[in-house]
Amino acid sequence: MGEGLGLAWMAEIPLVVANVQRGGPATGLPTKTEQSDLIVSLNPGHGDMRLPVIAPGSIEEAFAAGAEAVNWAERYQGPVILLTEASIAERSQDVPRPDTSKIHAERRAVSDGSHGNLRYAGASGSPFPVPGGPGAYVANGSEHDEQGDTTHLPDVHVRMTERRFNKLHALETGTYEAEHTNASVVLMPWGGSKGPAREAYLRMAAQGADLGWYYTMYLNPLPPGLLDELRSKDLVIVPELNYLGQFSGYLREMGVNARSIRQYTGLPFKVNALMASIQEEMQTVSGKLARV
Amino acid sequence: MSKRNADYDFKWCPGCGDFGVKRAIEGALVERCATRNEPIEQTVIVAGIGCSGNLVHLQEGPQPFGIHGIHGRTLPIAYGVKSARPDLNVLVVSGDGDFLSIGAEHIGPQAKRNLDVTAVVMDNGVYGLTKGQASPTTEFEVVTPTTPYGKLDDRMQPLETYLAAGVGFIATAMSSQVKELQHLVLQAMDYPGFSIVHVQSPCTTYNDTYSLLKGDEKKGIEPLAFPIPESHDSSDFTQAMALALGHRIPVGLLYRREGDSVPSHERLSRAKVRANVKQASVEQLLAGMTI
Repeated sequence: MGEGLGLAWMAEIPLVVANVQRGGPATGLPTKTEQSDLIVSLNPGHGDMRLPVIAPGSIEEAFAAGAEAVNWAERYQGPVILLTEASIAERSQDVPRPDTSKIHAERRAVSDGSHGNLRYAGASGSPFPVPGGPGAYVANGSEHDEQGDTTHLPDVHVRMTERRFNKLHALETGTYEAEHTNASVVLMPWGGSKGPAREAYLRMAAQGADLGWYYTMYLNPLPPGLLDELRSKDLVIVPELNYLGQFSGYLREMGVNARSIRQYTGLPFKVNALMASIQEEMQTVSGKLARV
Repeated sequence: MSKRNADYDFKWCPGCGDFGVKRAIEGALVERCATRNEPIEQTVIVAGIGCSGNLVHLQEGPQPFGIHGIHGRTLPIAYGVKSARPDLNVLVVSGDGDFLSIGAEHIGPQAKRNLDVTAVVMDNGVYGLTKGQASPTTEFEVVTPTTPYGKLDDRMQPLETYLAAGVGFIATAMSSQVKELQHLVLQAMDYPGFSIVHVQSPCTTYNDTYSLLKGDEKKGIEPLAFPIPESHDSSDFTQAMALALGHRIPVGLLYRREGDSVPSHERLSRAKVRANVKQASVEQLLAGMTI
């Protein structure tokens, strides 16, 4: 699996992989839910890559996320991971009918042959030659030059690596939810933990807790502006269903003071227990501030 | 360096059998395009990993599309190309190391689906690009860098594998006989189903078998390769298997299955008709779920 996704990243082949997370590793807990595939979704293979990831947090979001994942794949010409989990994928639920007028199907830019066979020319993407049409080239999983021929030249590897990462900027178009943004401590769930986290947040807000709310299904690349906001917080609390604290680790890597509330039982969060854990996290911060 | 790309820095060794295969494929494609009045861009070459796969970068003249993928996965990639675009002519170029080790697991399923592609397998009995390790067609107990005390596995019999897996068209050739090879590749591309042309393509650096294949009267070496006799009935599976299991290497058209050959993409479109599949719009799908 990983080698194939590496090939799609390297050869610039648009595709969407839906990863429905269940308890792992190996066959793990095949009928239970978990959020433990974030790291492998971002970096599924060997080598320098970071795949785009969209993780819907509800049935309604899943509808939009599927369409957007295809749009992303077409726009940046590469693999996109649609990351859901058993608790969403196996749920039946009544939802309001989605507004399809808000969905716009994007198609990749197709080569008209004016670039000859230089399929990989350009610092941040280029039109896609379709077999049968003009612009014949070699889609190559080895490092390659502009026409797809294998090369080991250091300067070409540098240029092409930067091109592949530059293409991700075209996906910095996502949106996010933000509430009570003045708070210095905020709650930021991802994926299917959004439901119980939202419930916990609303109850705590009703009780007057000084807690902010952030949420996005666009995990990589993150929507523009979101990181700056998160970096300004004393603490970003991330409820997530894995041992490693995968999303908080990802945020810390980018300079956010994030900490996880971790659960790895194979079951979703329960709201009361989650509220108690959030309280504890909030107290550690206020305790630290008091000691200073 | 290739004629098309002066910066391309990959080279085959002088005398490599793959040169002959390259010329034969170029010739077969030119001939195919001319007889069918088909643009070369209608052909996609799916290349495996190894010296053989680099053939896709070394094609001279008008260029087909190519994909140079990952080790052993030429057939899954070819299956994807052909399923999405049955109108394209799909050619697989691979070697014994790529096609018959990891790649071997895909031969059976694609033969049973009757994937309509032609695989040209360059067999040199060695991993040449990585400097001479044992491959599935290396002889038993031969010493190589990865088998320092002799290879523990028996030599694989590729022709037996293809026949047993149910491949519909199997030909064998020598890289030094370019005209014959070109003709067989052309025939294989015309076959409406899974076809394999297995080529003896010696590695002059790590496993030079030219004289073994051709024999040497002066040294009293009997040729390993022999032309398949005209009396051979290529539609007879038992006869083909008898040739495949012999100790010498038959050259020519080994097997061509009789009767209708229904390729994988045709099976898929027939199933769609049986299932009465209609392309529904998102609105129609949502309407079906509305309560």
